[in-house]
Amino acid sequence: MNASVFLVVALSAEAAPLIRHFELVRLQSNTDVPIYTNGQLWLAISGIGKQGADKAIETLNEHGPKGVSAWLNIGIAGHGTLNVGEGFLANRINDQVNSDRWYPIFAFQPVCKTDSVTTVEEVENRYPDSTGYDMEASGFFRSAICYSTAELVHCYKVVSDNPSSPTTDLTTQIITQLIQSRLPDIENIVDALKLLAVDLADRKPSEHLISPFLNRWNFTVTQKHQLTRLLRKSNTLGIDIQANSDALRFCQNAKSVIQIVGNTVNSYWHRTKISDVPKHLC
Amino acid sequence: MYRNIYVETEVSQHSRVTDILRRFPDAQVTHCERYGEIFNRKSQDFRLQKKQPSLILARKHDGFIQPAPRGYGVGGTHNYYFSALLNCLYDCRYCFLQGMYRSASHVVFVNYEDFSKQLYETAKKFNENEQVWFFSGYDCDSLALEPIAGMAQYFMSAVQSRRNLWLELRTKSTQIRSLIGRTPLDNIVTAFSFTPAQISQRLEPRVPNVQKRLAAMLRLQEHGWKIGLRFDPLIFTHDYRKQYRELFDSLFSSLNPSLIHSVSFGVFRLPKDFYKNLERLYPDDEFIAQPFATRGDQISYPVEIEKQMKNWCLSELKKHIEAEKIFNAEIETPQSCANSSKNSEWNAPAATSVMTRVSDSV
Repeated sequence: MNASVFLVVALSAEAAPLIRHFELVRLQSNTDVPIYTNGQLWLAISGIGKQGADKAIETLNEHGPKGVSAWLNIGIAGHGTLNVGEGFLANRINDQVNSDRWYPIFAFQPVCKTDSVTTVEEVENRYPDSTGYDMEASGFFRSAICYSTAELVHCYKVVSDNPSSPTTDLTTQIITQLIQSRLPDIENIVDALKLLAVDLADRKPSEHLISPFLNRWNFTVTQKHQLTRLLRKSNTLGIDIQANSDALRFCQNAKSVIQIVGNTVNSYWHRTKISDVPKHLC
Repeated sequence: MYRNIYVETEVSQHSRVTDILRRFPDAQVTHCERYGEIFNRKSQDFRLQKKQPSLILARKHDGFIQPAPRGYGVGGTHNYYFSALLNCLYDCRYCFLQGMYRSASHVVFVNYEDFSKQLYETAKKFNENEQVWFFSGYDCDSLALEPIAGMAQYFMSAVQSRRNLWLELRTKSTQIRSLIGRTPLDNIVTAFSFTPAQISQRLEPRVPNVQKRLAAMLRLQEHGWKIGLRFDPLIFTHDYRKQYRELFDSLFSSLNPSLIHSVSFGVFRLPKDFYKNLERLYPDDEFIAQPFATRGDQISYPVEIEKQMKNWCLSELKKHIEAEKIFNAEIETPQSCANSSKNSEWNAPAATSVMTRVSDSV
């Protein structure tokens, strides 16, 4: 199964160094949200705010490849204590408006520090707490978690402003430069997420196992699950379903197919006659 | 060891939390309100998390002591378990924890005092001459995290002056320092789980090898501690007789039988729902892929294999130790269901686990 990494950024200035670095090209598609891709990696420019992030995720999900997806929000953030230019992964995301909280799960070793992010509705210039301040993370996380497992959803922020360096100093060029300077971190995180996504994708059943059956008989959704499970077992245990090809040839319906495949898989114990070597310990 | 540690704000000043955090100066510490915000949420993947488990330090608020499942006792009339820790360092492929939880994070409930208070309250319900057992290794390995959590150390002290209150520390680890450093207690049994070496290598990643665990048991016995042996789960192989005979010979020829408190055994079995989760997590694992039989809400080996293995193991164990010390964790098949299953070799009926002393049933 496919494994893809989807990036969501708010601003074109943030996207520019990523598009260059990952050699992404604009997807020729009539979408409100600009999408770029190199076939492996997908990027959407969401615009500022939670709703934009939500819409970008919807759009990527609709236009991107199906399969396992990892999601990374990249962008600038203010911070109460960190220096401008420092990058961090969010370990806790607070929504200032509704007090919702999320905790991204690290199934990889972060290459950078981790810190909390508070998503605000308007630019925070007072920096009351030692946290990052952004405008997308909570909207991004809330939506992305619907399409993936928590370990594959993360937010990476680069500090753009703090109490001694206000937002009024920010320009498009500075924003681009800030993201550009953290590309090694970003590449590392993308690689880690990709590996995890592949791990997950490898667990999904291969179409080639089941498609010969689906092409020939009509299975309900439940029957398809039953068949997939049995075929995976037989494949893993090295049981040759084709050995029963005669019986299968005369099957009239999906139910009898499942019965024959099930009997073949259960013959594992008969086959071993409690004296052969179970394959799992060879 | 831990890169990410989550700490409930409520316990952030707790002395155990401070001590644990001091051991991991490079860890990223994240504060949370309740551990449930992180642990076992929807859309989490146990197998991915097992690559790099986090540590969660939390406070348990209720449900400190639970009745032990049938099949968990070793001779006591009253059996309970408590889980001051959740999850395990090891990654045994047959373990029910990976089917029960979506998270692989290790949770330490640092308010041990609240657990011990409930231990005392529970024990008080019974006569002082009745053994009330508390099992600490149900949702975790009792000793594997000992250098960090100090759980065994605390509860040994908690039960030392209460002679009707028995504590089982169940483990696959060799972390026995907290026991070696103190006077042995009659009411504590350190029970080591074993599968034969070849099976352990394949199905028990990260677990110390059989010889290292045997060495740990010998040290405990030398210091006067009672030990237990747990052959649960028994894993079927074509040559299980040879493999288990070698294991039994190796263990029983080295150990002092008078300091073996109990031996229990039971075939691999899992609640059906947990097994489904394992199939999803490890679809290409050859152990998990075996077509186990369904019996009620459990899966296990087909009855004929189960019976054969249990009978053989029992007769072998009796060569080494008196029957009174042997306990059999059976999958009990209600008679009404058994009758209806005669024609169905692989779909035997409703089953529950039940522990019986072998000398009572033979």
